[in-house]
Amino acid sequence: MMAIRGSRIVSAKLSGVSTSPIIMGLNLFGVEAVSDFASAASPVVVAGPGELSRSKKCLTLISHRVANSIRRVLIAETPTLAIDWVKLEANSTVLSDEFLAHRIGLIPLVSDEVVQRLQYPRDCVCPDFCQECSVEFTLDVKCTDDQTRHVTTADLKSSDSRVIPATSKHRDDESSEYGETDEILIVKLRKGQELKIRAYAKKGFGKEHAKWNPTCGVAFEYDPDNSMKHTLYPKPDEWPKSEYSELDDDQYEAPFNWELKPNKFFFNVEAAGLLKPENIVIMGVAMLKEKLSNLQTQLSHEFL
Amino acid sequence: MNAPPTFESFLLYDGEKKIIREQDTKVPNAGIFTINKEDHTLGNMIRNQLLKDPNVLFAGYKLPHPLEHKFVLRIQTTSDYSPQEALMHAITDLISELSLFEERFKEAIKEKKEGLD
Ligand SMILES: [Zn+2]
Repeated sequence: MMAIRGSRIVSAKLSGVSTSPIIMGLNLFGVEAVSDFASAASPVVVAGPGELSRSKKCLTLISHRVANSIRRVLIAETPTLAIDWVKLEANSTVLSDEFLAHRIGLIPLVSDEVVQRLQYPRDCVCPDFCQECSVEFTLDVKCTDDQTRHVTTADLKSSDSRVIPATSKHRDDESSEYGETDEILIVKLRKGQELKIRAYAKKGFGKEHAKWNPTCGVAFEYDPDNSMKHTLYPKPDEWPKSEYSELDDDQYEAPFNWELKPNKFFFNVEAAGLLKPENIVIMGVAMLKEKLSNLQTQLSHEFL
Repeated sequence: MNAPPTFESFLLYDGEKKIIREQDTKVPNAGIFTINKEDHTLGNMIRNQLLKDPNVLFAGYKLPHPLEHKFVLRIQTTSDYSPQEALMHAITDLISELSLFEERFKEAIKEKKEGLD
């Protein structure tokens, strides 16, 4: 399976009201750095890669643990869509049914507009699948030529034009938001071979299966110049400097300052194509809040 | 063949409770909460928020076993305050922290988009 890369890059710097500074960079592939966000008044700034290197005054909005919880939730608990049920009506290809079903499940589907409206199938009232809890896909290809026929995501037909393979996005889209992408190869057919399937995409999240994970890399860093000495470099000059470093070229590490606490977080969110990076953050944080309020409701029911 | 169902890590079984409380009988004002189908994502965040509360004398969490999808949170408070209240306040504070973040993030995204047009 080809890797899907190349969403875009948004970086964010956050500063805020309460106490001290935080920076959030959401970095996705593709977008060039545009403007200087360091002077922006808003506490959270979204920026392209490299835009956050010299950040100015901003305030802490979140703590270290919350930053890590956000990272975890973006990876494992942000709902997206992925094919989870496949019926093979004809398969005379060289790959087995379950092999194909697995490959088809891993295709990233653009979920931004639809996922919040859909139900989880286990919560839906319908017996199998309906409009409220799934999106139907069909694929019907037969090779009649002497040449090898490549079956790709371009052959996968969706019942909902908003939910299509991420690699098909550029076809009808005027914005190059998702960049230049090749269609994903599913299987190759020789003359006489056929593949016909019906499949349903369902709502889910990364905890259940990695195909629902909307990210390909989420990380945050703090203290780019290691002035808190949370880590020790035997030879600091041997280590690459952070892209957010504020040191001069001849310096490799800031002097130790025992008073400092992590208060600026540089986030990097790389999307796999299921959701736009900013939507990953918005939906992920909403999910985290929902988890907390569910727990609170349960707690007040049980004990108060 | 004998793999556990994939939803086991996040779906409560029938009749299973999200949160169970036990009294710690060895010390006053201490409670042990077991939160089912949750992990470090909530555990660490809540533990940390509890430690910021001056009326909380002790707060700690653990995941007893990697194949059991739950965490255990122990809270001890001062005498005029209960572990439940402390937990309640910690969660409320975390929700407002996240709401503020969410709001600021949306503003920033809007600003970024307007800047691009
Ligand atoms: Zn349904």
